[in-house]
Amino acid sequence: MTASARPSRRTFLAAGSLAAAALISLGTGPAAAAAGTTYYVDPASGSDNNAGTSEGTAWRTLTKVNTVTFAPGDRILLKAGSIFTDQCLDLKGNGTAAAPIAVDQYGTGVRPVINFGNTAVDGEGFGVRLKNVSYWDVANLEITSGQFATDMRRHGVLVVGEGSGAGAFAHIHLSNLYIHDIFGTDRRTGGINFHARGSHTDPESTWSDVLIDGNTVSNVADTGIQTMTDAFFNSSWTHPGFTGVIIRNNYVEKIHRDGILVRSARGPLVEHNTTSKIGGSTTAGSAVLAYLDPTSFIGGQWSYYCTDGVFQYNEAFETKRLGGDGQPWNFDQMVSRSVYQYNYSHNNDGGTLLAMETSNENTFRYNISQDDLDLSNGTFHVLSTGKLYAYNNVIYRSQTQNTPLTGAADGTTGMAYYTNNIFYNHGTGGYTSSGNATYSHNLFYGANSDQAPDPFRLTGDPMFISPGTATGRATADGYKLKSGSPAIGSGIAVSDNGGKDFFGGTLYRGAPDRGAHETAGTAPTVLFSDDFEDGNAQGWVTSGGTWSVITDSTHVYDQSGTSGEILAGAGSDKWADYTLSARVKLVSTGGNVGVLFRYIDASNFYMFRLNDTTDAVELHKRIAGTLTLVASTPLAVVPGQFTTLKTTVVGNTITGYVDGVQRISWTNPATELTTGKIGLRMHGTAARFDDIVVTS
Amino acid sequence: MTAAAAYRDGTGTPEPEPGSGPDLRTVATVSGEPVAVAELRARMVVHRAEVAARFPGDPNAPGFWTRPATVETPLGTLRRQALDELIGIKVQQVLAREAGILTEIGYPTFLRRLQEENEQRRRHVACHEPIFGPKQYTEQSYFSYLFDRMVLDLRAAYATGRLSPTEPQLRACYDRIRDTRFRLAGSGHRAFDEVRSAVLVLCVEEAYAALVEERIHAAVVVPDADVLNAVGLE
Repeated sequence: MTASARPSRRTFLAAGSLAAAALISLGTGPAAAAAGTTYYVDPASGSDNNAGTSEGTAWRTLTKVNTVTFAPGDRILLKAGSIFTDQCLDLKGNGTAAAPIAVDQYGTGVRPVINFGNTAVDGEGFGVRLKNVSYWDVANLEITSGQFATDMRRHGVLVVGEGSGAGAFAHIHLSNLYIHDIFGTDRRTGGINFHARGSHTDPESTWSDVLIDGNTVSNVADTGIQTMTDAFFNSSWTHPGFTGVIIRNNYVEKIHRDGILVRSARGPLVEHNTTSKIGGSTTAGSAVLAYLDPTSFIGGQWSYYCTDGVFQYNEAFETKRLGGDGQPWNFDQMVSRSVYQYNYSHNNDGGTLLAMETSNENTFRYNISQDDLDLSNGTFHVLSTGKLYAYNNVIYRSQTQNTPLTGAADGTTGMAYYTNNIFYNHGTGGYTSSGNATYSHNLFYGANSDQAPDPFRLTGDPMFISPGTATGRATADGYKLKSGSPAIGSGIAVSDNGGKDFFGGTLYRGAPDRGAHETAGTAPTVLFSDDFEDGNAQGWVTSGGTWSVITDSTHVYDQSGTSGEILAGAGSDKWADYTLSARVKLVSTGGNVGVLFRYIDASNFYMFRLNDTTDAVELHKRIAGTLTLVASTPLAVVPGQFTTLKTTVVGNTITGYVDGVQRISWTNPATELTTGKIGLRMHGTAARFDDIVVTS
Repeated sequence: MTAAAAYRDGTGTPEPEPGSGPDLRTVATVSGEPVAVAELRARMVVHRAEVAARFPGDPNAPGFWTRPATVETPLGTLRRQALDELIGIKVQQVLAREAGILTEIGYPTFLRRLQEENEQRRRHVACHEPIFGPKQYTEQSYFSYLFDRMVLDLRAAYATGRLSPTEPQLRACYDRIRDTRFRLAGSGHRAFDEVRSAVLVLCVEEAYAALVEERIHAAVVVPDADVLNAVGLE
């Protein structure tokens, strides 16, 4: 059986193909000397009157670089350890797919640093600008500006399409850059900015093959890394501006607004990034703060107007909730068919996930949240009028968070599906019971564990190895499950699940687990089994009825009496936590037949049975002779055919399955019947039994 | 290398061979805690562009960093600025050690952890196992990551320990920040009881910042002049 139907989804996005780009050769300066030429820039010993084509004839300034329109295969190398003060790179020319143009360092030592200070080109400051160009690789530079009271747009790297040169651009790769202490005036500024600029009626610039890899962005306003198009505001806008976007391995910290924000993209892959101190978290002084954009709604790593995005293996912490939001992850407006998976968040102000109004068909799976706060309506702040699938996540709260852990979707079509999650709640928050939230096979531990309307909930301790101790990837192992955890094997299969758990383990290995860890599924220890093929029933002690081993296709244990309570027992009275499975068959209509576990004597046991009279599967307990129905589920019982009953008892939690489908889960609030044998039981009914197995 | 050269700084740490790895000699102590040359140099790299911009002339020109300026040389300013930053770092590392969060706070330990972390990440990537954060950390990013985590752990420990606020302190903190941190979309702000856990975190943040300032002011910095004055940009 699978969980609620979901659309098929791919789980990994390869680098985007290089769309044929309408390359526009711009620039009015002299053409580069020859395709594939390497140019050197040495501010100590170079001269702008040199050819620039060897270390000994290096250029001196970036101003000289900016006069040249480069050709495919060219390389512009800045001397390691150099400092370029009040200068910037405003790069011109286009490479090709086979021969991109590269900017890099040469020599040994620390990265060359571009300190563009308070300088400006076309009214804005930047360390590197790639305006209306394609096929560039920029790597191994340090870029900074410092703090200035001048209210101006500033960027570490600005990749922009605008004006008459706007078009379709390809292949911009930015790697191993160290961008810090840059303060721009509005939302379209900051560390690394891709921006399709213009009025909403202008032709829109687009990019394919964007790689932002291994960069450190620190102490920046407005946003750490972002893509943006102004065409959003065109009512006829229908296509994404960015394809083939990969944002990978970046470290983004101390940011005025958002950490990583991907807008207008199809299939962005955002992975292995870390963001920390996001939102109002720079060291900007009062003169700078006076002109920075007022921050209000902040997110760690998120998307806006995107489809088919994958955010995975990221870590986010200390995202601030200022006016609102403050979550590490966010399916924002018009985000669809996107996935967050294998991410780890902690200590974020606003909760864990935001799903905005027009988001739809998004999946949040196999993530771990440790002590995110709850300042924006709880752990899951769901506003979407579409579908949100949240499964196999671990939400761990050790503090006094008191808002809901789950949220409901909105409108007539919105639905939040919570499946196979583990909520570990030492706070006081609860769970929404709105009809716009559907629960199945979640484990709720701690406060309000009985609140969510989950027909298959478990409420016992999930038995994590060491919860609350994650300090990074290595110690997230604390959220693996101990042997004997009730979460093991008690989940429900989810289709198109990505194929891996949080820890990289394959899905599934045996019955699905709840939570972010899929256990190895080691073979259980068989404590007892009897298929009666030896033709006898040695070891069974009966009470009432008429018992014998007969043939019904195979040898089976037959009870033909039809009067009063009839019992048979076997096994050890010291068995505590175990799984009992048996095939049972009602011989005639109208009776009941079941299995007993933690069976002490005829007056003390648990019973899981089929009741043909009421067409239900039932869980009973008998304590000191009093039989009490504790849980039941309607089920069409069919006499004359074998049905497999399976029950697992761990601590006080009992889970019952019929023909492999979980039908009942119940936790005894009292500790009673802690050990006992197994048994078979019917009342006034003839029945047959086969393939009885007990495993630890 | 002669024995005399190996121990010329008098701290018992040898002067490194050229190209033999990070310089781990002690360049100063902050309230008795050693600061390694490599540690100082890592901070100098971060600040070098900004310091250079404060002085006239070409920072790439010979003699720029060592020429006398109004009060001190550009290099002296850079060293001092980096050391000032390290005072704040050291006092917080000492607080973490006092709280039992760290046992080792020396830079050699950090560099070893960086190497181990990156080796572990390489192994995980090679085995197609998940990692979180970058595939490889730089010295700067890993230091930031560990330091930020350390401060988080320290504040969490203080929240129930030495900086645990009283109820009136919590309410006073709430009153100060409710309009900036807890305002509602329309008007007004969320009630104290609704945001109590967040107020606790923020209140402890404030108290922590005050404690760090106090420790910085009380810190005793003893540079090793010989070593310090020899620290350059490379």
